[in-house]
Amino acid sequence: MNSIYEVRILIVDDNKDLLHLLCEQLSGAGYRHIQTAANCAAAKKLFAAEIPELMILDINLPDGDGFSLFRALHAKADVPALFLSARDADADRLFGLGLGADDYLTKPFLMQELLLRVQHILLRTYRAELARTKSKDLKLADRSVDLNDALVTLSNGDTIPLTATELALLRKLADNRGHIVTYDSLCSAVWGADYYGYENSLGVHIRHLRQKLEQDPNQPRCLLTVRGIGYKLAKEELL
Amino acid sequence: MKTFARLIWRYVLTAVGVVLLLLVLTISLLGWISWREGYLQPQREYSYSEIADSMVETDNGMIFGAEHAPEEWMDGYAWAMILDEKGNVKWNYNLPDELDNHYSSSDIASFSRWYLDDYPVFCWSENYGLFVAGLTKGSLWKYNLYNSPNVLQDIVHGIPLVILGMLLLVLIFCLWIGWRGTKRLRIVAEGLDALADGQTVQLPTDGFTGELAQKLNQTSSHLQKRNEMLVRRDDTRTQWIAGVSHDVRTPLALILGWGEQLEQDSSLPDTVRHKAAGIRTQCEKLRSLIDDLNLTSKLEYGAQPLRKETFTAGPLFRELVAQFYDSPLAENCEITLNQTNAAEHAQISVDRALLARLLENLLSNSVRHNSESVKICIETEIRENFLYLTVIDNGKGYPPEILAALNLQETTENTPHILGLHVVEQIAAAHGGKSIFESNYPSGARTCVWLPLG
Repeated sequence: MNSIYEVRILIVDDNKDLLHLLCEQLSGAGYRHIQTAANCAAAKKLFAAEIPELMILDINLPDGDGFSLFRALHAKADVPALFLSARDADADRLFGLGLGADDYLTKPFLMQELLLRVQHILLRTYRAELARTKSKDLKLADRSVDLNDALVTLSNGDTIPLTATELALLRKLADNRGHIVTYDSLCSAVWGADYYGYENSLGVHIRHLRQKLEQDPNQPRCLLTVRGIGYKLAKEELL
Repeated sequence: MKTFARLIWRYVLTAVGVVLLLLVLTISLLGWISWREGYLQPQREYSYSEIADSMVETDNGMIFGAEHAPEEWMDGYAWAMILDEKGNVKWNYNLPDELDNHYSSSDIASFSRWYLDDYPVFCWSENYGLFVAGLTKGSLWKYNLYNSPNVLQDIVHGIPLVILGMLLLVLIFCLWIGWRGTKRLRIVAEGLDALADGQTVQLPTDGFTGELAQKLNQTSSHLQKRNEMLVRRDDTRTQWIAGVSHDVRTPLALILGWGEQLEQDSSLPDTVRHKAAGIRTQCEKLRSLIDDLNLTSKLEYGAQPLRKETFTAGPLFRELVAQFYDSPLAENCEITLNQTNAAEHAQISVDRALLARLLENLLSNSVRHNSESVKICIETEIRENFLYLTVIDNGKGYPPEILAALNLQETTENTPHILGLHVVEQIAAAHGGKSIFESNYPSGARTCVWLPLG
């Protein structure tokens, strides 16, 4: 698998307009293999014909419910799934996630949010597969970082090595690029769950990282501070 | 309920007190009668035996002793006479004519015990004959009592014991009555306690508290029916809101999706895309309203279970704030989070999803109601046993009517709709805390939320 956009996605919903809209949005986002089903029977048929790599399931279906459908399909193959339902009760949400679904999104929803959640599920599930084929270069303004070799390449071709801690921090930030990563998540990624006492060290490591990534470490453009909350690696298009 | 036990004890003690009072009154009455007999009734100055002893036999016949005048000796007596051995009147003093007779031995035996022609009389035997003193008719009743000597001894010795025994019996009887009463009333009291706790009761209706128990059973039955009706009504209302919100969600998802799609369609003119953005924004508001309506209804009627877990406040608030800060709604605002060291490490027991909703409502309120990019500052600190969360923005602040509606807790026809902030209040209250909404100086809104620690 070269890209997450190559995955086969199966969408099950009894509302044809919504199915059409979801297809349009996912296609527009670059996903090329989308199949739709309006009921459980059709979904099982499609699943039997070709196992998808992601399922987006409604819960209230004309010939059954999405939970039972997920259980039946999940027994055949461990396919990641996202429930997309108008049922907003905590009990439904917990039940769905408890069955082993990767996410649960309540209608109405922003398409951007759905696309991001789909992207996260796919990246998380197929990380290893993608890593084999995907380049691990991280573009940061005039520099690039090779996350496999832990090297920062400057515009003049010079390279600066990253320490193990800096690499772990950068990996976590790169995985969530464009989103805030809290101090706690960063510390946990580097020092594990028992990170208490390392919070002050985090600032030191971030400063060192900025010295390697930023043109002007005192006015960072790539590795941004969100005061009191955490750090964010700016999106590539914003640099 | 201790009231009934106290009541019974008071009743028992009162009963004992009344018995003792009656005893004292009886003794006092007897004493008074004796005193009255001794001092108020006409008295005989000298006893008939003294008078008899004082009589002196002279040549002129019998005369009273010289110590006193005859009137003094006979003070209190109507008449007197002396009978010789043959029963003839030997001497007399003021003897009525009808009594101046010969008396046989059977007459003497009869009047010595009873009356002489209805005159109460006393007899005393002397050497000179039988001295008989008479009182006026009806002034004295005479009784003849016969008993063995033991009876009087028994009475004299036994009276204190009998009185003590009777008192003891009265006390035991009162206690027994009291105990029975307490037992019955305790059942009623327990029934009242159960009713006060909102439980239903079915008490036995026998005994002297039967009527009371029956009334309590009726009250319980009425309350149960009313509670069931209220629960049914609340359930119906909550289900109706949940049902409507469920039915609205799918069409709204389509409108939101199409609006978003049109907004991103670069082939469309800017005016159309601008309108599509408006549709998307309004749909988002509707979505938020539906969520709030659903949640407020559940919180109001206790249909929202609290899934409390213990969290360290610092990381939790960072995560929740980051979650909002990452959302498209927060694109134009600046959020800072300041936590004191104590708050950072404090443990709070909260429903994470509800706390996220509380923060989201406060933050989105600041963003939505302030057109320009707003600066929001979130602070946490520890005050007493509470985590004190403050959300401050530099926007235009809460309008006065909103503040009045939030802080006065009174709703009128003109009360503005503040569903999102009402949900904040409800979530804080559900966690045992509270929320205060106020204006920030020099501008903006300030919301303080108190959440209990632990």
